[in-house]
Amino acid sequence: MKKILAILLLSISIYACKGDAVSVSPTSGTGGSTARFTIANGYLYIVDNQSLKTYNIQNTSNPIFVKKSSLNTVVESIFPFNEHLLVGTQNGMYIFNISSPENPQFVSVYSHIVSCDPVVAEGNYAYVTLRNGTNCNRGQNVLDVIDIKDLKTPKLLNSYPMQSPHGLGIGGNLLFVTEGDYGMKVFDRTNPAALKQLSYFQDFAAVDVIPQDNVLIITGKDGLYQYSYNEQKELKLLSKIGVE
Amino acid sequence: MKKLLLLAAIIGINACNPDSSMTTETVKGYRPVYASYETLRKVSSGSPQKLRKPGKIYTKDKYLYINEIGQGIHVFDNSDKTKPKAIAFISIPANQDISIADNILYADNADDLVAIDITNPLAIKVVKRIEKAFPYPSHPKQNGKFECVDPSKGYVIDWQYTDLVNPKCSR
Repeated sequence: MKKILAILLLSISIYACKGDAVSVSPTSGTGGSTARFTIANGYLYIVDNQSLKTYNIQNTSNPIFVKKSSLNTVVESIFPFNEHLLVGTQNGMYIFNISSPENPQFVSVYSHIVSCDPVVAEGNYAYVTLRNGTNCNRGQNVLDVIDIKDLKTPKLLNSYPMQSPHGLGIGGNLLFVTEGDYGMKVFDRTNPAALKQLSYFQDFAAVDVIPQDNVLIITGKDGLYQYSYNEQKELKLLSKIGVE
Repeated sequence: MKKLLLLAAIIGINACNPDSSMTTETVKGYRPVYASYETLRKVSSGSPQKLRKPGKIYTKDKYLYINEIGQGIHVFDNSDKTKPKAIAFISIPANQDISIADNILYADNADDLVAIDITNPLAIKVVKRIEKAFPYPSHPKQNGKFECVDPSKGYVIDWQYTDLVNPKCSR
């Protein structure tokens, strides 16, 4: 009986985490880490210059504006994570709780110096890139690994120097970091406190990235590339859509 | 009478330009490039187009969506990842970001948010438009001097780095 109950609870929690799978909510797709739109539990969340906006899309063809949450910083990206939104901004990573989806609640902020910052997360860790670029004023080029076991007090675990980090993505134990014109780096994140660089692709430019079902999709100014990856951490080119 | 005209002209110049002297100064800076809302709000779909400046990406079911920066969305059938097949191009002027729920694609279209029915990517339908959902681009991303924007001229789709005479805005 206990076992059945445990399985039941587990399956409920899986459904709860997957949000999109709950029957009342529409099914959504997957964006890259540089996305400024995201969908969770029948709501569309959009970050623009300085705010987070919430739209009700329970009737998908009739989005209705619900709320604007102001942020006193330039916002770069939004990432849905277990009933939370991780918002990458020029001042750091803001965490909002969306268990009440119409009313995102500010939880905490992991602050640092001014730069551009997409963010992804899995388990107890968030990965944030900080890039110094024309849009982002002064800054540094680094990848920060942040312990988010307690979302109220995110803590820096380690920081890695980068060249021009734009986007990132997690595929199992692999972490992919796009370095703009410099290419893409692949890290083993088995131990997030000590990332290990496995490979560095320098033959194409890489900006946005989506790892999904063992296929890595990358775009950059040279076009779109799809690579397969596996547990053995091997990457194999599947196809390329070049630019004209 | 002539004197009066001269006086009026001086007052006029001073009124427009209260802080600067009569001399003109040419500096490098950013000039807004405008497009009319009438042009920008033409959202349509058609046959596939070549990738030129790929931006952000999105996947849903067997489809792969690639933003053409400022132009719209390339739709590919990605069932066979070794041979993604181009299906359609959805023209959405001044677009950068999308997200999809069921068969509805949400996109920024200049400073509007549009909901587009993409059940048939070759015959899309705008089902809702929320005007002014995004901030109007009032300044370039870069720091420096720039020509102040005039929203009555349309939406700013780009900034041109050029010679400016007495630009009144800067950041």
